[in-house]
Amino acid sequence: MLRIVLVDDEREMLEQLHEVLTSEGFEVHLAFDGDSGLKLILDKKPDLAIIDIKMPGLSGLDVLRQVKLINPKQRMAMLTGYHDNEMELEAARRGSIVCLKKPISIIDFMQTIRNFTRDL
Amino acid sequence: MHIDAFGAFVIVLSNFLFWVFTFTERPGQIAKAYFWWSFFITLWALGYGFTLAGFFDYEKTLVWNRCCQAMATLIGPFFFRFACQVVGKSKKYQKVFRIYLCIAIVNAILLLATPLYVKGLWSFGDYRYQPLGGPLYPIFTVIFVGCTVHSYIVVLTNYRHMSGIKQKQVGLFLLATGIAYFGGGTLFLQAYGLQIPTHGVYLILAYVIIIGYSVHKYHFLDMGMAVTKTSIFILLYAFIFGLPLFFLFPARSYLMLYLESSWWILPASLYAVLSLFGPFLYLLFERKVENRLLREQQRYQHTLMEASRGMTLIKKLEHLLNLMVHILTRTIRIEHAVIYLIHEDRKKYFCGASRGIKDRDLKREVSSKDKLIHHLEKYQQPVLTDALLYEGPYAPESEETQLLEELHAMKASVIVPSLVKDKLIGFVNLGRKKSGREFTQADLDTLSILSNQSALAIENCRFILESETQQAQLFQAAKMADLGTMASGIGHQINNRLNVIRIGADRSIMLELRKIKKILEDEGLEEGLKQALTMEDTLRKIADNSARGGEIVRRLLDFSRLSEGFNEVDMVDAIESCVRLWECKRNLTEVHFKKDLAVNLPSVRGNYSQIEEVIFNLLDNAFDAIKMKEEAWGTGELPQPETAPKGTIHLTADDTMRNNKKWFRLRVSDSGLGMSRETQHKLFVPFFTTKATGIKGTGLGLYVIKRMIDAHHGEVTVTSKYGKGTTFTALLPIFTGSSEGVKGS
Repeated sequence: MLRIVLVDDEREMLEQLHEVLTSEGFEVHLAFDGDSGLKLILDKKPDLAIIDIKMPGLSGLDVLRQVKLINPKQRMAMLTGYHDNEMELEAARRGSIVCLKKPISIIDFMQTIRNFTRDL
Repeated sequence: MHIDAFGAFVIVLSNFLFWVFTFTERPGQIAKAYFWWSFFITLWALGYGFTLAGFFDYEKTLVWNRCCQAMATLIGPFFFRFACQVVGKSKKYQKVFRIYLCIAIVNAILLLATPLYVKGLWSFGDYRYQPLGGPLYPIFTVIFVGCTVHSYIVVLTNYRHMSGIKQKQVGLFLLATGIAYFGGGTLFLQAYGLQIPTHGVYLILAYVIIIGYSVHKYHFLDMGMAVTKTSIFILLYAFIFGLPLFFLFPARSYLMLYLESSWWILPASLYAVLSLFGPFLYLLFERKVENRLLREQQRYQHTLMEASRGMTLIKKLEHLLNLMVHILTRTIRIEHAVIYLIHEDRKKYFCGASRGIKDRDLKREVSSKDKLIHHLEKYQQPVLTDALLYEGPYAPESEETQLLEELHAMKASVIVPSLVKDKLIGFVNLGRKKSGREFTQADLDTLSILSNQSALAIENCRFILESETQQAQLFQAAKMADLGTMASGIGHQINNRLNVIRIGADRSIMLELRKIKKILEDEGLEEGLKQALTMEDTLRKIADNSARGGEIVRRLLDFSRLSEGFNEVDMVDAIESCVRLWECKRNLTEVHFKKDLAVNLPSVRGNYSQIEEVIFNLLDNAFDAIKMKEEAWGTGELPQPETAPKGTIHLTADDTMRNNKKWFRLRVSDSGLGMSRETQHKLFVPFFTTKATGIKGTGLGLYVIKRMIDAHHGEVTVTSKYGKGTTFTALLPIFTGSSEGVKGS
């Protein structure tokens, strides 16, 4: 079973995603801000962590950097509502494998997760 | 004193007065020529008068007569010059005049110094003295007649080509001098021993009277005031001297009856009183007449002042032009007035306002290549059709002939240019005066001032209009900038909401609805299942639409980010990266994609993300166009070929020269659906989309592309044919070193 951590301050959205993904057979953990997200990722070591870039407190990019420092092998993907090329570039530089753009479709979302975890 | 001597003295007196007043105004060329001619006539008349009057003894009278004959010799060449001047050909005949003058001067000297021309005096009838010609007197006659005949030839050959006021002037000139010379011609004969009376001297007076009339009526010699003042002077002083004279002679016996020996008191006191008041009376009359004569001019000036005051207050160009044609046709009373203004593109002058002209005669546009415009720009003076005609005739293909044709086509009597700093910003086409009078120099001056004044007012109007538009644009730009700064925040919020909607819809489809469907299926409730399927459809629509909403937000955000700095952009890098991105989005096996990048591609001065966006959008549109063509085949909108080939997309990048500047050129061609001409026109309008069923299009793509390329000071063009395909060409400025300066809008 694929283990996934989702970090976003949009609680409503995460809860909906959680429900669907769980029903589709994923093991899903949620965090609603950067700090708890960081802890969760380091703690659970998910197959894929998906983090919103823009969050109050620790931002997605900060979380990404810190996780990569401690655990460079951790697969990380970003989620953004901003569509900012610079930021995407920065995320890629820090080791994000993909940048998902809001609004996302659950089907695309699951497809992406499967694509990037195919080798597992 | 012989009665004919009186005629000679009247000539002297009237001419003398005429000059005095001529020189109170600035005489023109013709007036000067006239002065010299009449000067010698006057001197001749003085001498001739003394000859006829018999005031002196034989010796003295002979000297007077020789003087008078010598002056008469000089009349010839000066008449020739006057005649040339009248028909405007004085330059051409300058040399001939000088030759005539030299011959005449030599003759005059010989005439004065020797008895060869006038050998003595004789008498017949009631003439006490008459000159008797010597052996060389015929030479004098020949010079005089020769000059006169040549003068008439010059005038008559030119008279045929004249028209309007000038023709009338020259006609009167011919009449006046004809009568005078006919009279003068009878005064030679006595010297040949013929006993003919010299009453012809009175006919010479005709020229003074007729020329005076033509000065008054047709502005001949340009000195209307001089004649009027002379007339007042003569009448007034005839009265002042004449009234006491009446008491002095005819009424003397009556006075003596009543006043006896002190009868002289009345004429003497009359003289005293009249000569005291004479100058004041003259000044009074002069002012009255001046007011009368200058009334028209004053009316103009008044109009001018009113108009210029009004004009600067008007801020709307249309109103201003209407006011001007109103002033011209109603106040200055001209048949028609048409105002032409320069078009922004500087290629033509268009009719801004007109009045009093028939529609079929109205010329709506005048090309700036027309002869008229060249003429106005060159001379910066009003063009008078009559004056041009008078200067003629011209060669059939000459500039003047073409100009005249243009003037006739426009029905113009006068064209007055409107100049601002020597720049022709427009002109006014004027018809004849309603009064039927001709345009005078004073009119033209006034009209020129009015026209230039209005040019300023027009510029003023245009400036106000421009600044208002600019203000509106600035305001709009400020609003857009505000919107831009808000956009990222708003966009984020909207995107999150859309995200929740989309995921919610997805979740409902995947979880709840799936369960409901299963239950309904198990229970065999067909009707419920149908409803569930409809609901699923609705939810999918919600999901899709929120996705499209997200797309629009994304474009808006891109758009609001237009104002980032400009730097050197490596185009190979930008193109490669776009193509990679695009390959992720589209399945490129569905089309033939080819890219040709020229070697040594120059860098572009620009914003990397914007350029990327442009390239990406162009490629994406090309792909859509191919898909739309395939759809059109499907719906039968386009006839499907037997073997449907794969669509091709061709990207080329190279550089090109344009306006002496090197540009980066990017072309994206596709073999897709193509566009009709109407669609091409609307292509860069925001929210316009051909993807009408609206699956993909936001209607912002090409607008954003255009804005981005505009911000780069580049150019984007499209060539397209419906059913064949489309090519977009973008030109972008080459990076030349400095990265400052150009900022986005």
